[in-house]
Amino acid sequence: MPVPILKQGQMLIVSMQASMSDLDLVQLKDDLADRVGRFRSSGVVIDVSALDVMDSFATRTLRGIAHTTKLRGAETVIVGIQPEVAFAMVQLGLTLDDVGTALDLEEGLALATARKAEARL
Amino acid sequence: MLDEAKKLKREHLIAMAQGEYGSAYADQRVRLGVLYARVGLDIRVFLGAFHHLMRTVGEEIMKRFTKTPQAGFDIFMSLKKVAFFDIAIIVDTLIDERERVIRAQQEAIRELSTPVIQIRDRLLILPMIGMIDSERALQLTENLLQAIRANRARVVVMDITGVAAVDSKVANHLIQTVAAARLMGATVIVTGLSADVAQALVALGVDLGRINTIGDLQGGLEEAERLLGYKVVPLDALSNAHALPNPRQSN
Amino acid sequence: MTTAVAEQTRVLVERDGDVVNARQTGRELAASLGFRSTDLTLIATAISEVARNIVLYAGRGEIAVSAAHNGARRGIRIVAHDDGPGIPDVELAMRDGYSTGKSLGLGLSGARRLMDDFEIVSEVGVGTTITMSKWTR
Repeated sequence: MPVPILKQGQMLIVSMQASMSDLDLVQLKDDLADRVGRFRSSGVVIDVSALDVMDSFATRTLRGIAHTTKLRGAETVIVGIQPEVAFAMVQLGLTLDDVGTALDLEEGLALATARKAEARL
Repeated sequence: MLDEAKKLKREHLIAMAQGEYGSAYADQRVRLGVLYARVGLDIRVFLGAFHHLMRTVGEEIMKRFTKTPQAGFDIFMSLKKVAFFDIAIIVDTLIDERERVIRAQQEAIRELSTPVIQIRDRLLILPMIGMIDSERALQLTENLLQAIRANRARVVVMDITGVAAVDSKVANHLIQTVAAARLMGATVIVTGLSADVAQALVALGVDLGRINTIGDLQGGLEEAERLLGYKVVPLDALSNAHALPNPRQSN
Repeated sequence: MTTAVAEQTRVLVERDGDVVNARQTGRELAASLGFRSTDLTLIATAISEVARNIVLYAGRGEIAVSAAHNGARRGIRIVAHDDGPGIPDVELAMRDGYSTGKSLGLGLSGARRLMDDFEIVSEVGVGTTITMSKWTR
């Protein structure tokens, strides 16, 4: 099931679902890359608050998406990592250092904007 | 409860001499032990009473075996064997109960001593005091992460001035907490880490580069406020035209 | 240490959707055993790691979850089994630091960190069996 991508000004917003298949993820990466290019978006905010687990595969995938969109000129911010999920990720040794993280959508949009401004300097 | 105790005691004494020492017997002993634990029976009192019991029974036995004291002694020794079995179970149960209570109290202490305080919009302080073992560190991290979400905190000042011993284990817990908070979009400033301790940790191979440390709590708070875009200005720095009556001047 | 094992719930793992199934099953059982919510996530994440491995490297396998007992303690036991290619150097695989994002990261060392007991038996050309347990605190 394809994931809807919302456009809000210069930003693209995606909500990940726990039931997304690997194919959906690949599709998402391609769709985002395409749209960032077309709309010249400056940021992508990916909301993972619906995910009850973020394992090494999910983390790698998100990093991959962030990397791809960055190549097209957009800053990616992951938002909505739940407390228990953050805890588990850290126990596993997973980081999202190279990708921005924020608490929620509002914070995420602000962060993406700020990072883009910094990147321009 | 007294009636239950007396009833159990009678059954206990009768069972001791019966000859059946299977799991039903053991269960009965455990129940007795739990009862003793609940009334807070001192182990010494229990042992004293048992000793008294054995002595009384022993004297009775010897009275009946004056002609063949060896036989009487053998019977007493059999009873003693059962008695020791009993004592072992009951003492074990008493100790178990005591440990359970201690654990519950420790849990309560942990709950009380891991406060996360919101001192300003988006700013949390976590003053850590005392010994940090793994259990407590876990609790702290969980509490903090929940608080970050609940308060939409963007900056956390974690003060470890009051932490008794900062070894590499504690340091690693701190690093993990910082990393988890970052995943939730919050920056953690660790204050109260003395230069000596920092050096020692680095020597142990702990990578402190991942955590933002500032000498003291005050410095940490100022940095936190700066990060959040606050600026704290003393009242008398405000222009006179807009000044409120200075509280220090009125008396 | 004798541990009694109750009935198992087995989940066939063949494709990515099954990874979610497996961890949901594990989470539900763990919840019924009284694990606190942080532990539920740890358990589900550990299951996710081993299930993902099965899909990626073995093609198909099975994950069995069951309640376990160790004296008075209750816990959950997870057995992940596949008849896949096996792991040539288990030591190395367990040491692999996949936090750097290497695609070869097997997630095994991670799963071990999340669980209390962890055992892996693997033979090249035969398959892999991972047994892991976590106990309520």
